Amino acid sequence: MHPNDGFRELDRQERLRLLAGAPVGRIVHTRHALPAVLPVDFALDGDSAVLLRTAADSELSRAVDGAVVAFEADELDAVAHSGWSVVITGHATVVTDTAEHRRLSLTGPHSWVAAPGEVFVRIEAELVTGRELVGGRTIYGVGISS
Amino acid sequence: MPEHTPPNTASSAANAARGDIGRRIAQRRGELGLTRQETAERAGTVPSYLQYLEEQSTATPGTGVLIRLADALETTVTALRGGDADLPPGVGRAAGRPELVELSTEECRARLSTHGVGRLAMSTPTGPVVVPVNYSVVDGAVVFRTAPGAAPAAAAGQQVAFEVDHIDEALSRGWSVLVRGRAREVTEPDAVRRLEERAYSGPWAGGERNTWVSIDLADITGRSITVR
Repeated sequence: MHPNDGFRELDRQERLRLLAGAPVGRIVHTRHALPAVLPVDFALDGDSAVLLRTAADSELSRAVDGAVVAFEADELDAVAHSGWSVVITGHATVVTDTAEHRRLSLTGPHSWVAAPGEVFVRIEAELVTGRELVGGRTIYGVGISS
Repeated sequence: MPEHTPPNTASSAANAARGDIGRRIAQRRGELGLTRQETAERAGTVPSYLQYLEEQSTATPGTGVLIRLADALETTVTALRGGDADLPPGVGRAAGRPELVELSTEECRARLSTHGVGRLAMSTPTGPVVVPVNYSVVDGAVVFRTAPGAAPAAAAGQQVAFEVDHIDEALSRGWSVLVRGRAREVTEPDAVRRLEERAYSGPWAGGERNTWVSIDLADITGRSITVR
């Protein structure tokens, strides 16, 4: 944590509220031994997990199943020098349980009904960090730790 | 390939009646919270002309005006034009499936443009880390300025991923570009001076940000998301 980095720590409730309103997020995972970032549509499963939908045979589902991944959403306004960034870190798993798959299909947003051959990926919200840019300060110095 | 479901977009009859470019300008202006007056001043034009562009679907602004507007709105001419202009004006969100199209290296570089906000990701023993940074493109590399000891500075010497995307909420389309490679700290005084001169923006305010980090653009991939 860098005290002068111009960010204010958000509390967990604020983080999840901002995350819930974001139109798109980005999943960070390892691909061919290198980090990779991919924008994805998502939904929150309460305050416990992030849900993605992907093709069952996709590179993404193979790469993230069982791995620790990061999921980030932000809203950054370079003109107004304001914004926020929220990151969820945790284990990702492909949902294989039929009942759970059905529950997610029913309770998720309408557009989230998985097509045949698609699976849900669940990212446990083991660590939720979030910061708000305040006072027009630079966003260069974001610290790793929360 | 993952499926992308576009974000839900509220569309109104008023929106549908506008031309795509006008709608994008108005949408982007709204995102930034800028008035027509403020936007016009930044772009070196007058509010009445901006109003005309936003409200008349027949308006066909010249490239010069579009470049200035794109700068004023922190976006690109391509984005204001809607990427590949294959949709007629007034076509809103389609009910089709999102489709991914790989972008060529040139297209990827064009979308990175000269500067913007991207996300820097790297692996750490406790898992992946991702932070947003302001970047510039100088001499074929993504560069950003950071504070020594801060997360982006920790990227130096590591294999990193750097991602820039733009999701067009007006038409539920978008693109993303991914640069992967080893980040390095720029320490050579002449090189630092060159970056100080050529990088698009300085730090926003306050704080000393005197470490430059550079990521070569050798490994660059990208794709656009199009709803058919």
